[in-house]
Amino acid sequence: MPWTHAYPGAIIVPDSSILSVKDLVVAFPGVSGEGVQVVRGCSFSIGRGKTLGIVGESGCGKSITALSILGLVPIPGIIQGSIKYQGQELVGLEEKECEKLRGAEISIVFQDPSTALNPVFNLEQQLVETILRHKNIGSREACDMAIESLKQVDIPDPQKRIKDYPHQLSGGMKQRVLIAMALLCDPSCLILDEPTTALDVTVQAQILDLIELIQRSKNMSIILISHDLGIISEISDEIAIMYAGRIVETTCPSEIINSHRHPYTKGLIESIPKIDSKKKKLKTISGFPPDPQEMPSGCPFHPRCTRRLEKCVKLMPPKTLVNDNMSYACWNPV
Amino acid sequence: MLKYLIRRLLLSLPILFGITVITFGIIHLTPGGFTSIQMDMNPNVSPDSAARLQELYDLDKPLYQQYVLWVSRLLRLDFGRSFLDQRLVIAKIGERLPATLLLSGLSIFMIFLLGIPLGVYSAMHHNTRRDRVITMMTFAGYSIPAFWLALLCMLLFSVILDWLPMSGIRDIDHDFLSPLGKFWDYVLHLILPVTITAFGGLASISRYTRGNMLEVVRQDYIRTARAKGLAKNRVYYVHALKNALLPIITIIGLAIPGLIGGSFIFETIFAWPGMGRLAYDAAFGFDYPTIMGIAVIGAVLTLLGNILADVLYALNDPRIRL
Repeated sequence: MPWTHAYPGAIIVPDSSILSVKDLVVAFPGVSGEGVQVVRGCSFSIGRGKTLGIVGESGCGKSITALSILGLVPIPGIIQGSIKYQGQELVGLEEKECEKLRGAEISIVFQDPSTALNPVFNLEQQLVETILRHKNIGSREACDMAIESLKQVDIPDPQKRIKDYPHQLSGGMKQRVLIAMALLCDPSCLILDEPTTALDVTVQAQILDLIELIQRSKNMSIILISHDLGIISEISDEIAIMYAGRIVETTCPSEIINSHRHPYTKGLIESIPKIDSKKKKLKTISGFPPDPQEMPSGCPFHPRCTRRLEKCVKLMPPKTLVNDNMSYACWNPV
Repeated sequence: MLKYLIRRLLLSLPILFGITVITFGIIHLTPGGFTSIQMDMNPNVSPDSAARLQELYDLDKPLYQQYVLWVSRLLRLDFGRSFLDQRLVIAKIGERLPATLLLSGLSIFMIFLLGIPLGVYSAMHHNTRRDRVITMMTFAGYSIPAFWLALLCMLLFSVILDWLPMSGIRDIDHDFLSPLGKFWDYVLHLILPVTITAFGGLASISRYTRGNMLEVVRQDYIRTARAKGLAKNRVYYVHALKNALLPIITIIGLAIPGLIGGSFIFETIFAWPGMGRLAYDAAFGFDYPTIMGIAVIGAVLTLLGNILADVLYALNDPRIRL
């Protein structure tokens, strides 16, 4: 209908993405001065039913980015920029409105399952309260739903286990419960913040399979945050490489190994241990990620970069588009 | 649970025995004695009659025999008679205990009822003006000597404003009042003592709660609770508070002996006919049976308070199994 866009009050959805983050800046005001920027102009978007993987070293701002989507950045953090969920601006949204979205529309599973469940409430209490918060149903029905959700994440004997307290479960089981909890209200977007880091490799694989299975059955969008390039390229549709609070390269799993452009991405790939490697020593990126309080001038990666030019020290490289899904920010790309 | 309780109760018996031995020893080590008040400075007392008086109260026997005698009576639940007025110790305690229980009970109830929410509120508004106002008030509560505050309040509310009775537990015309009037009379007499005795405790409980809460709200599971979309009040008063309660339960256990012992200072200031004053009078009169009676009841309640605290731990935290 050609007149729709001109019609007053019509909802205009500019793109098909379910969540789009634009120029996100998260700053923590310090005791003196303007404070520290942890996320510095991060932009990405994610389509319905797609998986976006965000990779980066510890402290590059991955988790804070995830928390800012949910409005959970710890006090006194300040969020600037724009986060749009299905056209609704989340930055500056009232706390009450945020609460309605959290757990219902956008859910998150945190890194460490051993501490993410409240130790003094049993699973039933923790699951049911989420349902009752977002759905208008009786507590009996909610309990049935909770049992059903545990069944969905392959918890054996859910009718019995639901009365368990967190300390009675293993790490992998806790993470399953947390995933079940995040999925209770059928969110359209699920954020997984290092969901498998605290788990051993076998359990990791099980959890990832489970996530993929559920995603396909519910057509859910996933943001997967990890420092593990292997996991990311296994289940993502798109990959964003994050460094010092910015996305430095976006690519996709089929392209990342052979046609990456940013030297940082190259460094990450080279530092994956290879099973058939003859070399004794693992290749690493020298140096440390920059301290957010003392950001280097120009490109923040330049002190560690092997392809550094004079320009890199002075000027921040702009985002260069390769195609719709791929971009990089580098003056001297690979 | 039942097995644990029985074991704990049995384990308490040797402790109780130790407490009575020590108390018995200490009061008899005190210089002077019951008979010396009446005789030491009196030139008319012959050594013969002094010995007779000692014998009357069994004070001539060796200490261990006196203790055995006392224990054998206690096992028959006989606390003996007061040296001072020959009344049964149990009756003397019985008439004082309700007044102390009423005052301390209400005071402790107020402390927890107001102190815990105040602490949670303070933690919720951490480092804001509201938190600072509460912090200032609680520090005042800590530092102002309560007996001094008691006197100031008596001056203001009883003398200058004449709103509240100054002291005692009931009015002089109490017996002529209607049932409702009697109740109201008690209420009026309780307001000042309860408020004053609760004041200091309120300050420390709210500080404890605030400190524990601030520790707990940094935990991952609080972030999970918020990420589920729960309202802030539910996150703080349900998820965080239940975790922050453990150290507070310890204080509840410790508060129970105070509930019984009463506070000598406040009972004196407010002329409150409670256990504190009974113990004071007994101690200064070398009234051994009364002192021992109060000590035993106090010790039993302290031990029960500790067991109660352990049971409350287990009820609050599923990781603790008895």
